[in-house]
Amino acid sequence: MEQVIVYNVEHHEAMGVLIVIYFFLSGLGAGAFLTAAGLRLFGGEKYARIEKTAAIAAPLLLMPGLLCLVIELGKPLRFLNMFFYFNPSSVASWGVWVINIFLAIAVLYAFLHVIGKAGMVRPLAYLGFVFALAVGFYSGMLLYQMHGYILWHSALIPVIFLVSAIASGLAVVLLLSGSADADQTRVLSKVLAVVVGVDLVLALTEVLTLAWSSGEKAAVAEVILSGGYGFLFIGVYLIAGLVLPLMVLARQRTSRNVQVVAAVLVLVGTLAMRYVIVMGGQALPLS
Amino acid sequence: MKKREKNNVGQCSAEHERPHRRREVLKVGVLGAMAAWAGAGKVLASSETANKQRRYAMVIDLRRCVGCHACSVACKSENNVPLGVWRSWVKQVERGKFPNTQRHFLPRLCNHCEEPACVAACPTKATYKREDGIILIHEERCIGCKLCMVACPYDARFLQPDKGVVNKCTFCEHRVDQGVVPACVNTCQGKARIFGDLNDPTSEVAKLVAREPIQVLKPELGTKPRVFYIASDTGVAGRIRKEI
Ligand code: SF4
Ligand code: SF4
Repeated sequence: MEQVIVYNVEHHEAMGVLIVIYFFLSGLGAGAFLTAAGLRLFGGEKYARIEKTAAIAAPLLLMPGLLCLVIELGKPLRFLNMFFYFNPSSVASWGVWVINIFLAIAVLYAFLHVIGKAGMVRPLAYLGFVFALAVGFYSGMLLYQMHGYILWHSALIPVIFLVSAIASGLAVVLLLSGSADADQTRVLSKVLAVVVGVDLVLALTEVLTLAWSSGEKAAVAEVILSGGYGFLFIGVYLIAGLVLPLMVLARQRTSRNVQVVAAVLVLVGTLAMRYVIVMGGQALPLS
Repeated sequence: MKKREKNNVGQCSAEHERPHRRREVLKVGVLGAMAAWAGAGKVLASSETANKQRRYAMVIDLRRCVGCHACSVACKSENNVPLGVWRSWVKQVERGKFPNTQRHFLPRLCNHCEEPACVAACPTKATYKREDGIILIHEERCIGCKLCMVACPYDARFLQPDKGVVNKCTFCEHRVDQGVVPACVNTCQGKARIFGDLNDPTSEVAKLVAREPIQVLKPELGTKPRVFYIASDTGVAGRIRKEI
């Protein structure tokens, strides 16, 4: 039977666009660092140039992200309270330590590259690798804890956030290493294609399981698959941000133009995805 | 039922430093004299088992609710709640076609959950559960990160526009501590709201929760709300749905 809501109070969305940008930039920073450390640990000395670019980009991307987070606070000047008080059941309480330790590692790592002591960074690369993974994972975990929001409370969300962080980090490094050896950017593109492929599988799994369920889950699927969110999620993220780069990289990895196009598409797609998950996740009222 | 000395209305707010101070001062003068007359501030029945930990709870008997919004208004004025945000409100849903139609009500407030998702998510422990179960916020510690707002599955919280910190229903802890019931309970026209100590088997809330068919909102989330509804309607209790 039909019914009409005559009156209800819906409070304003708690997470705004600044949080979206923070998730995007912190993902980029973590991804760029993973690229740098990955090249050091698995690639070796010959990638030193790309590694340096990635190492310097990581903290520079992360810091404006953290700034967005602080500006978004209702009481920005009290952000230090996050360090003074610790709540073990709060993902954010852990996250603030993880991300700041990661920032310190990333800054030190970049500094060692700048002063030309890149030879000493191996242990730091190991440590930073773990923390960068944690940073990429934690944003999704933060959303997962909010169990009233169906779109966020899914085990795949932290994984999708991590994988897309790696993809966008690789993309930004690829964009910045125009002057590097063509052989090496080809390898980067190959890794990017694989990560984008994994991201596509995860995103499809998530969205198809939502769409094929009932009740509130189906209602959430309708929100993110139709209208403006639908355009961003299907058009910009799934098609332009994942399928297209995958197709062009599968055919052609050596051309610089193809690399640039693929990287830009991945970046735009990742931003769109973060936006849809954060804002679209809050679109359905809670009560 | 005997009243505890400490909870005497006449003593209310000697050391109260709050926005409603003017009201309280008024009460010390007027209320003390009118305590016997009741009406102005219903006295909270004190616990028979004084040494047991109190656990405050509310029962809302929807068979008695007429949807008059008096509770929403009383809350606004008691707690100086700014424009545009609400600690307490009455959701209304209309179903059916004339002449077979009915309006269903659901007075809303913070559920003062036994397992509060907001407390779990707060990174600074600014929001906390008091021993008697009331969920409060250290306003001077809160950084306004709004994580508790998204953690709460009931939309009970909001960012106080003028302060930049989070705010919500406090079960009128300043009144309860002085031995009077929350403002919404005090004002309810149909006596639909009942407030008291769930751990005291002789209290009205404990009796109602034991005997009546009660519901809580979103029980599947495991937050264990301590606001119980009698005869709540499926169409109004859930998320917005165009049909049931
Ligand atoms: S209703 Fe929301 S704000 Fe109130 S205690 Fe429960 S989770 Fe916290
Ligand atoms: S807004 Fe305040 S009370 Fe809420 S989680 Fe953040 S610090 Fe805690």
